[in-house]
Amino acid sequence: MSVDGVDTATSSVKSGPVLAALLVGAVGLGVYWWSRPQEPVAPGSTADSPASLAAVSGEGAGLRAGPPSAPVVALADAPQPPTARYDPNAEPHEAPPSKPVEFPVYDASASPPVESGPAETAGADPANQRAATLRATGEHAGGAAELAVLIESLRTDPLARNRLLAISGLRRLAADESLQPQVLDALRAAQSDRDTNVARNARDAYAEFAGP
Amino acid sequence: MNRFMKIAVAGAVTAATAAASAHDYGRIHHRPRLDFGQRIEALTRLESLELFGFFAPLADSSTLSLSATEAEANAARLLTVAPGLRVRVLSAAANLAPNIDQMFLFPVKHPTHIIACNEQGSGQIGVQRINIKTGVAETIISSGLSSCDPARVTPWGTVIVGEENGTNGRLFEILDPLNTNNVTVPASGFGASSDPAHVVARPALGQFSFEGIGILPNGVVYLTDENRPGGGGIGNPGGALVKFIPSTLWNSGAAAITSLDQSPWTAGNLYGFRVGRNTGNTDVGQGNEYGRGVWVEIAGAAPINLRAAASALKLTAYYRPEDMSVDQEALADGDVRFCGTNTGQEVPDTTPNGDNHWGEVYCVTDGTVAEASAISVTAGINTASIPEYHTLVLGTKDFAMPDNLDIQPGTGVFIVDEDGEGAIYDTPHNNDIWACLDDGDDTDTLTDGCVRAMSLNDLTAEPTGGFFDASGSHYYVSIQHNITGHGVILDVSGWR
Repeated sequence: MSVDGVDTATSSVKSGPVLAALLVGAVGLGVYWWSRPQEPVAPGSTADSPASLAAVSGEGAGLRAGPPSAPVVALADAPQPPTARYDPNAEPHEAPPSKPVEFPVYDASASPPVESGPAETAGADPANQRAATLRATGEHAGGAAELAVLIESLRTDPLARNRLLAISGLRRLAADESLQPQVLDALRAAQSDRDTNVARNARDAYAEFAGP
Repeated sequence: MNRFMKIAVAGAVTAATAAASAHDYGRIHHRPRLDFGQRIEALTRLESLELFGFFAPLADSSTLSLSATEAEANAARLLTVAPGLRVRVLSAAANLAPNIDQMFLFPVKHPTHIIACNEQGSGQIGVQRINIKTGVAETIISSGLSSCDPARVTPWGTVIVGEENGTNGRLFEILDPLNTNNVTVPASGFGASSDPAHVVARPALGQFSFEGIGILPNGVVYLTDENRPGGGGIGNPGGALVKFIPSTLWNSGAAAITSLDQSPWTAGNLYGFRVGRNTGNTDVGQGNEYGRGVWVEIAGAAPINLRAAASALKLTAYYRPEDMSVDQEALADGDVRFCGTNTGQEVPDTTPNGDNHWGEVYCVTDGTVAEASAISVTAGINTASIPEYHTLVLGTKDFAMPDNLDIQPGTGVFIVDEDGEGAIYDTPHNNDIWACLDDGDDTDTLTDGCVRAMSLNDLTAEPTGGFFDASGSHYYVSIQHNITGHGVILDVSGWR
């Protein structure tokens, strides 16, 4: 388009010197206007000002007066900061301690409360807490209670990873022949799971005990 | 005049529109497909063979989750590797403990076994050895350890293992691990094991959640506490880094010890890392976590509660410090540099409690070996060396929660096991193993690039304990709590 724009101006030159000069001037004016440097944003003068933001957010719109305008001061009249030599080692905002800082000393008898367990089990996401429970449930020799937990998780846990853990636990419970019918029922149903990994794991676990 | 004004305004608008259109034209149609950072990433992938020793990195994390049947048929399928690399099953023995974590080859010269921690409860197996030719697993410590995680061989020929168990965590030293079997240790405290000639606790090294262990040839050891911030109360610090200097340094040329009471770790002094040296070492606290620091003396009778000491002494804390590896190239030059991971915390943005703190890989320098091993305490500070901490790799959504790492001998490439939460995303994906370059001669202290080298095929598992053999040609990694229900250790080779 910028190329097209120049072409238009060039063709106009043929129709009359005056018009062409005007158009060239107008183009120049437009380019200048477009590419002019951005002025620094003055407080209270743009949409970023607190008053404008308040208006946008509806906070105190039309009720709260804006901050009083600062008096206009000519640049030459403005107070100048005191001149100082640059000292790279200076730390003007940081006063040195007036006396040696005494760092605390470790006193075993006054220990603050601290966590005593592994970090994995502290502050874990709820999904991972469920996973930890499923892993623990699957690790132990199971009974009806463990079976119920695993079947329920396989049916309802929204996370595919947790349903995979439930299948893994059920696989181990199936070593107990008395539990196999319920395990196989659950695995058969899970073969139609919407997650392909879960469905395949259920299919293979089912085949392991019931045959393909 | 009015007519001329109209023409001028029309011309100005045309020009302005043209300028604006030119602006948009450039952005929309001529914008490079890759921004500069992406081009650097692409270049890193393109030069994979030269930089990382395999033909090309993996583009994405695997989304496959093998069934137990599939994994039992061929456990090597649990890991997808970059083109050029190969996977062999070192062990998938039915009695290999399921949560194998850190491990190493033993003996150092002509190794025959891997010795590994098993990260389970005190009622389960703590430490095993695995024959690297047959894959047969045998148990060294059968119970008593809670969450055995770090494991290393010492310069004097013993084995050190640790518990990641909060302020109850302990370190144990094992003599003759190839002939020590089924030892039990007390579930807490420092009472004797069932075989005190071969397994003893080391109270001199204190107590916290042991995870990173970096041993110098003279017995000086760096330790990290896998602790998350806010545990036990909001504002409580995360995990600290401490250094233990034995009362008697080990002569690295000496023969292996024959009795555990000859170990340098029976007595010594502990120091904690605290960033901040400005204004008399006082600019300490939140906001100052990297750069130069001091070693603060941790005094007290063994076993010292190192987590409490870290809090009281205002030691610098990080988000779940994990594994650690001593830079052998720096060591060969007589300098101390060790690198480790801080896991951070990551869950999908769709869950309300995610930090998007994706963790990091860091490196610490501590002067020369002689400086790092000396003691010169003034006002509670060991001034003999100046530790300096810098981030090497900042985690990302892709490369999240780094856990174990090792530095490949011969290349200096970092291989980092990821322990992210990809499995709980809407589209679940597996944990990966990343290869990262060390920092080069550029001006920053950061890695020059990372690529995905391997990816698991088991959404219920994580890679742990990955380490190289001395030649750097074999990388051993555990597929922890995988779908089979037993341990799997894989041997990855093929680096060019």
